[in-house]
Amino acid sequence: MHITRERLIVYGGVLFFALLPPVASFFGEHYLISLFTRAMIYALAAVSLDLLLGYGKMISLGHAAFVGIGAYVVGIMFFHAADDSLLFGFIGGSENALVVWPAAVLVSAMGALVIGALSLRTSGMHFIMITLAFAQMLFYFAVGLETYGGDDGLPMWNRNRLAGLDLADKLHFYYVCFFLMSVFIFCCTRLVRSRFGLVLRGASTNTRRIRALGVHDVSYKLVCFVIAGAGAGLAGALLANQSEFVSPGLLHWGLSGELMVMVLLGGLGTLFGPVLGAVLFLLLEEFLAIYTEHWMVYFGPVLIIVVLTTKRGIYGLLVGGGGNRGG
Amino acid sequence: MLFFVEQSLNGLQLGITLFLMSAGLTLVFGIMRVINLAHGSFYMIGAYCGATTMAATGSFLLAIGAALIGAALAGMVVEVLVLRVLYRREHLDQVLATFGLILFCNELTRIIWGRQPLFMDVPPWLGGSIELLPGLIYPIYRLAVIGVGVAVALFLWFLFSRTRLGMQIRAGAENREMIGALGVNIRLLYTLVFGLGAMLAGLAGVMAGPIMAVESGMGEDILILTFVVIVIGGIGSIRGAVVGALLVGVVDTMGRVFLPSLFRIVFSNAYADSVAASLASMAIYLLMAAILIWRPRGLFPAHS
Amino acid sequence: MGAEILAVKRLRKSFGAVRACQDLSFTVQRGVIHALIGPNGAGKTTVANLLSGELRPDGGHIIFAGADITTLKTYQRARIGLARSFQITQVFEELSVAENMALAILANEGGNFRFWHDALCSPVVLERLPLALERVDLVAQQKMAAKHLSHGERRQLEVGMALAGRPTLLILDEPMAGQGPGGTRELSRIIKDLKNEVSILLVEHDMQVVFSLADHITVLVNGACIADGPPEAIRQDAAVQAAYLGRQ
Ligand SMILES: Nc1ncnc2c1ncn2[C@@H]1O[C@H](COP(=O)(O)OP(=O)(O)OP(=O)(O)O)[C@@H](O)[C@H]1O
Ligand SMILES: [Mg+2]
Repeated sequence: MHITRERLIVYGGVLFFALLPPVASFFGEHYLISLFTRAMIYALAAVSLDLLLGYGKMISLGHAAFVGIGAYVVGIMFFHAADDSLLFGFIGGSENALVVWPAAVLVSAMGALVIGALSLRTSGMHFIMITLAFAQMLFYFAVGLETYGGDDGLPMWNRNRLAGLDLADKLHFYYVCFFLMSVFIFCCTRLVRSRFGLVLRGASTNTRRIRALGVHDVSYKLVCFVIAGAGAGLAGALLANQSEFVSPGLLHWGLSGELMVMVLLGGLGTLFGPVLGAVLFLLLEEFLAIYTEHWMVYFGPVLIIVVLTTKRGIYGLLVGGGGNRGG
Repeated sequence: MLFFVEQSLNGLQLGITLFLMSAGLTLVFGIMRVINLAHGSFYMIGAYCGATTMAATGSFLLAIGAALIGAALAGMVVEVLVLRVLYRREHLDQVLATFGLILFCNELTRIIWGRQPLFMDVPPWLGGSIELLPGLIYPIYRLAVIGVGVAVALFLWFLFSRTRLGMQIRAGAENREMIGALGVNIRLLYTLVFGLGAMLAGLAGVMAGPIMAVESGMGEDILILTFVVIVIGGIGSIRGAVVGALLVGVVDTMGRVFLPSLFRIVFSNAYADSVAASLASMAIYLLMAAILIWRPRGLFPAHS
Repeated sequence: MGAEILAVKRLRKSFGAVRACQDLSFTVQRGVIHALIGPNGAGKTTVANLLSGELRPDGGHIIFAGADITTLKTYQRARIGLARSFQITQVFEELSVAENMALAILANEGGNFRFWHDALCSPVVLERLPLALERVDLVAQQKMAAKHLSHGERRQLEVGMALAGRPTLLILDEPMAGQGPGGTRELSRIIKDLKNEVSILLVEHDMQVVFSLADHITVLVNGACIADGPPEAIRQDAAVQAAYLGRQ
């Protein structure tokens, strides 16, 4: 196959992430490794949101809920492992990543199934408000969970254990995140081209037509919602490990909004774009905050202008004609 | 029983605030089909303008006036500069741009007023409590809030069912195709409706000032409750806003008070206590879910 | 069952004061082109929407292949072999022509919850896509996004998609709408070719087109059937002539 610009950018990106730790270490900029670990985790969540926004045309303003659920599963399991107590009286805690992370994904997916099934009874503006409301409900639920720290959140004293690896080690954790993010994005690129993906894209472009063809569009959208929720749950599990701390803030709609910004900044419906968006967002946050604590006052208007004037994200600009909005 | 009445009044008061918020927003949604996340910012602007004026002049009436003017001006400026461009855009763009507006407004208030919350005193002439029923003592200020809310609701009712402009606006909100047939200056109408909505939000904000802390980001929680109200009531329907707001206000207040005790009766262990508190704050969302299952487009769906 | 593919019984639908369909009854035989004609606003599209399930009737029944489908949803009707095209083109604008057609082929196949293999390389698509495209003359345009097609090509795609799911009854709502003479000829040819494969309910308001294609004609005016019979009989019918001449 010939090398397109798109391929070049993707391979370049992979190479960049793969080589970042040794290069950063060489120059003694170790904090870059944690910064990019965080960026990759956010990217994972943003890519899962891109499935919703870009391919399913479902404008969910509550995606952070699933990040939060994933994180809380890890946190709560850790809590019970630490004091040897049982959850609901019969589930023991665990620190094993191979147990806890899949559990986080599963619980997030189940949460997405319930919220999605309810929210998909409507569409348009209703859908936006309802996803936001349900996410806020979970936020308050987390705030009220006194056992697990309530408002103050739940600290973890160490990261999960993963056979043969030391997740407390920056490098190990970085490459675990890199691996998971890459696998997830690869799966997504397959997904959007698969039979499911094609039907989903059809369902999101023209409901009348897809129904007349014999497709119950809502079930496809719901499955997409669940998959996106699962991806966000994985991101949440990683985020809990990264910060060794879980708090209601992870469920807050501010995070949902930020994820959405990453997707649109990077390139809606491109899957790779949101990674760029996430990196850019975190870099901006990191470096603008050095110059002024009020960086949001500049970022807000910039965001409005970007939305109002550009039709494609950064990825679209890089790729040229290929990165059409809405893929 | 007295306790129940007292809690009903509290619920009513929350409902009034929500009504002021949602009446404007539901019109904006219905008429302009634009999703505006920044409506909570007008609430915050109202509260800040009010608190500042109150601190400077000591007059609560001036504070209210400042809040109304400040919020309405902010609303109209935002409409002209940002919203106007968004009308023809997709919902996603609207969400993102108004999210940007929230970030901007929140940070701006932090720059102007600092990170510390402001506190607003209840004006002396509204201070104190009265005995409504034997044994039921209720703060006068909260009664006044309820009174103002009812007055505004009556005013809106008059505006929307007795005046020409109002009837046109309502017709437009419930059936968008009507707007083209109205033969009015649509641009101006949009700006006015948006300004009116912002003004009502500002009024809600300044009246909440003496009850809660005035701080950056205070608009978001109330915004989400407002969304719940609109989802329950139906987009574009003032009647829906009234019913939805009262329902949410009462259910939220009652839920917080009675759910934990109910829960304690059913599950008696200590674990139940913490869950009950969580569940109480979820009551309205469960209400919303139930209404969604029953009527996906809300209690008073607009016919479009 | 027997020779009937579709039977409509006393179907009613009103929009406020407008009675778009009043006590309409007719049957469509298997293997024929059955035309539903009438002047603008007669209620033809309303009937098509009632048949496809996009509208709920106020009363009456729809029997398809011997089964009462009045309460089925649109997608359920499509699954049992009732396909339609739209008067106003409804294609997947963002997708390519090949993707549009592949989707139309896959939609009725079931088993679409497959997440890994490329949809365009699935066996059903490989087998049926070339023919489906060829039938409506869109082989050369298959890589183009649907939104970049010409009006005529879009109409062809519209009909082609309705056909791709191998329906037993095809409802075509004014397939020639907005077509020039060339496009009309092309689509007439396509529809004629279909005759042996599928029963067709052709909604049209252009009498000439209808007389050249239809085996049987039902005439609708103000939501009610004023004539029903073979083309020769309709041509002679006084009521039909009055309705059409009176309008034009
Ligand atoms: N959704 C609707 N709401 C209200 N009235 C409608 C609706 N759809 C159709 N009508 C009315 O019903 C009548 C029949 O309309 P319909 O579209 O079925 O006619 P038609 O025969 O398809 O006309 P044309 O040849 O223009 O396509 C018209 O008077 C139309 O205005
Ligand atoms: Mg028609």
